[in-house]
Amino acid sequence: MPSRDDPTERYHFGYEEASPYGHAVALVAAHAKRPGEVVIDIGCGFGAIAEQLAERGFTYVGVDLESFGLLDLQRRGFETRELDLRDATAISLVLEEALRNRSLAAVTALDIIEHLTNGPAVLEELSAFCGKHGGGTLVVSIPNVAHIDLGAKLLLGRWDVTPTGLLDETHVSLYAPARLERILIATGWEEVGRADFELVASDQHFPADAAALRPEAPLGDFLRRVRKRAAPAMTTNQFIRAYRPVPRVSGEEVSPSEKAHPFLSVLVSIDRPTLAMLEDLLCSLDAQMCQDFEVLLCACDLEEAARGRLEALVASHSEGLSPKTVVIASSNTAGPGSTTPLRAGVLNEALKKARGRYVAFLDADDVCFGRYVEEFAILVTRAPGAVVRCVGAEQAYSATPWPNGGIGYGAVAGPEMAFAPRFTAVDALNEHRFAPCTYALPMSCFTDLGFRCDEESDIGLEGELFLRAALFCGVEDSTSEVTVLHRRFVNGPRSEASEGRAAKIAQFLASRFDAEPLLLPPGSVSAISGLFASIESLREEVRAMERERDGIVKERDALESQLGRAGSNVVDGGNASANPDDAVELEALRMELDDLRHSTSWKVTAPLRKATGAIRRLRSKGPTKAPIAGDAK
Amino acid sequence: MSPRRKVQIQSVLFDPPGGSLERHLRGIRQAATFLSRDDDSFEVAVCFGDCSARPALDASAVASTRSFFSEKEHLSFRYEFFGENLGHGGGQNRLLRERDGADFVLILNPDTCLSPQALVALLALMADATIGITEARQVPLEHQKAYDEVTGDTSWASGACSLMRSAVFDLVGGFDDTTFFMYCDDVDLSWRARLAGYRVVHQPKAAVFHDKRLSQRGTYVPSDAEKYYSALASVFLAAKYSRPDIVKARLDDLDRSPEAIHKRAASEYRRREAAGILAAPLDPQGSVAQFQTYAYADLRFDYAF
Repeated sequence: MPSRDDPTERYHFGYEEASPYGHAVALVAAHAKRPGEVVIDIGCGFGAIAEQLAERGFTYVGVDLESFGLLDLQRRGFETRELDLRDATAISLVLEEALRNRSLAAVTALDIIEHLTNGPAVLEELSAFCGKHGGGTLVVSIPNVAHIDLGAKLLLGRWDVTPTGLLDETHVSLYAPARLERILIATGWEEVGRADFELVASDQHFPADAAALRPEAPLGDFLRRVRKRAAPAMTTNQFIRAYRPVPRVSGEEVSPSEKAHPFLSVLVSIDRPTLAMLEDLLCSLDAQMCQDFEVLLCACDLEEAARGRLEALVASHSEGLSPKTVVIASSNTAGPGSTTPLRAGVLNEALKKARGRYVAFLDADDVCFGRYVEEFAILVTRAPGAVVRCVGAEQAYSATPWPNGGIGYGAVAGPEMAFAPRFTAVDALNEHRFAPCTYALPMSCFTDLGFRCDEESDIGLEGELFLRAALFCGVEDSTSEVTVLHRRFVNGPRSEASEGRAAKIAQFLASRFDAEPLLLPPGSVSAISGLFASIESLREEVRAMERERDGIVKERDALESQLGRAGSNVVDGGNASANPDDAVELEALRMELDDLRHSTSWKVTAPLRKATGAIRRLRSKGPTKAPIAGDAK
Repeated sequence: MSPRRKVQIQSVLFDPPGGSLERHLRGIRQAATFLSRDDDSFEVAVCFGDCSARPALDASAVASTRSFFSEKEHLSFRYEFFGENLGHGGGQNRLLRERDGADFVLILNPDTCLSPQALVALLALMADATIGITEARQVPLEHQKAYDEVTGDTSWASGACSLMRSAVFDLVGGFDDTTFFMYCDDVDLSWRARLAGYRVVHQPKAAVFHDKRLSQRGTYVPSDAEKYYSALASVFLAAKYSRPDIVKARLDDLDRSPEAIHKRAASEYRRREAAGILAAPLDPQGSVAQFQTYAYADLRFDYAF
């Protein structure tokens, strides 16, 4: 049995279908031009895929610098060529010799690119070669250093280089998904297929009982959830991809300069009922003192005529707003009665197009004060990267026709300060009433953490997103003036929901956040124990009031029975006036009872009947869990 | 071709905060552009009267604004530096007197930004000859004045953004800048227009941004000048509309107020009363004047500031 310590045997792996080799062969078979043609396997080592390709009708040619693999291949009856890939200029010559005017099916480069300091130059040469030979397919197999095992261990300060595997000691260039894509595009390749090799537990999955590594441990679970949202290939061990050569895009792709990005992208959800009110919002955006923003109007479920009106409305804002506004319309039509999943889809579409460093979400019936954008900008200067929250007010509106016809609306009350002045995570988890208009989220939530609006749910759309962003990024609250107004409709199609809806949202959020470990900011333990303490003190108050009530009830019962006796005595006498003393006593008792019934204590304790019942029911359910929902506030 | 008509848009400036005039001009430009697309028979003249101690617009800003307006047909811009603080009504009156044949005048506060459709929507109502003044709907904070749900008739039109028939201005003699320095001059002008038989109508289809501020607690925090002039104006208004009972009640309130600024307002009123320089009382029957606690109209709701 050969030893892995022997350098000539280190990469002598056998072929298995459920292995990177198997996946690579499958990709060649699926994407290479025609069987019977040549597959050149560069950096072939022992040529683990040679027989498999030959079985599928390809002519295999192994190319490598190391002779022990080539000799082994020759013994097995395969063609070989010697090639030092460190000199990229030699590649085309050697490959032409290897091809010998035959037809090229594919070039494979399995577990080789990461060993090269000049990987991009080699890939570029291969693109030219394949392009010249009728578009031969390239199949690569490259280890993924963005595997969760490596990320989790790096958090523990570990970087365990091993003889083979993800952190093979001879790897000189490391690839994560984005880098791989960028380099392949830059060197003249277009992806045509992938069969990445997944390993939930890679060769780096040690020490296996580290909480950061174990998916079952809350820490491991949490890290996995973060990683999974943020970028693809969390458990990909090897990227196994097929490409076709394309003309190289000249020059490096230049990312737009920082200056070209507006500070804020304002995403506005518009549906049929709110379109009529959009003009107020646009007018208030026109009036912003800080104009460093763009507007993405997300038209959800608007029929063509309404969309036409929307376009005309935008065009009418000819001074500044129109050029920085784009309309994003839903391409698909919503099912009957369900527009919100569609809305999430349009918002996600807008998020892809948004260029701001922060993103705010407004509804078309919200309206801003003149410092809305400016206040966000100030908060971001104070806490860069945090979720920022401005002061918002709520005003009750009614849908009523305007004079001289047409639909209309008007305020029916002054603004109320309906939203919590400070964000606290524990309150927010229990509050279920977000004011989306008061938030702006760092774009990093979407570009780095991979957050999206939930297209599955038709409720709690912002709640989950904003709460998660707040828990991950922290929140900077404004202590300045009101800068946004949420107009809450008390009637008409915009009228907000009933208790039922709030409960549904609460349930939805609880189910989402219950499904995963929760990241709570410092101070949360005190906040939670404070809730328990206030429940306990409320219970104590209730017990004291119960005792007082029991005393009063006893007193009342005694009085009533006295009254009953006195009454019956009088009745027994057959004549109320027969014993004037009895009648006087009876009247006095009645008055006393009446006083008691109207006494402050009696009145104060009256609502207790309900509360006491509730407490008893809660007690019978259990001592700690149930009361939070009912008694916390 | 219909005869050319002219509308003058005018604002009186007093030390406008940085950036607010650009915004104001943005609104005017787009409303004027929208009007010219809707009805090209209108000529629009924009004029700013500046009561600031130093010019709020320098020569290059005036030149660039003027060149923007002159690029478009039938648009013009005029800037006048008054060199003295004439007050709101005084400044508006001076601009109004130089209106060069304008049929309509749009009175604006400099802390406003017109929506594109505002001017068109306000002018549309002027087809009705009984209407003397039309008033825009303010955002983000609507004015709480009641208006007739069918006709739009209302007690008075806010000077923040109101369109007036020039003939009405001539008929009533413009703003009463002798009595009012700031505040209530718009109420007074509206009531005199109504006494002259014209209607004052709210036009909610015309939206105008008005830069109102609410504190973190949702309250309006007035400056000392606002407190002083609004208190004083409210007493003058009550006196002018033949309501000695309201005058007395207001003065009592001001005397009792813990704020020195209110006491100063009360004594200024008494000084003028003693000097016999109050406006001659109008509307003895109370046919147009309405006095609520701190309002001059029925209210749809109360801001409780």
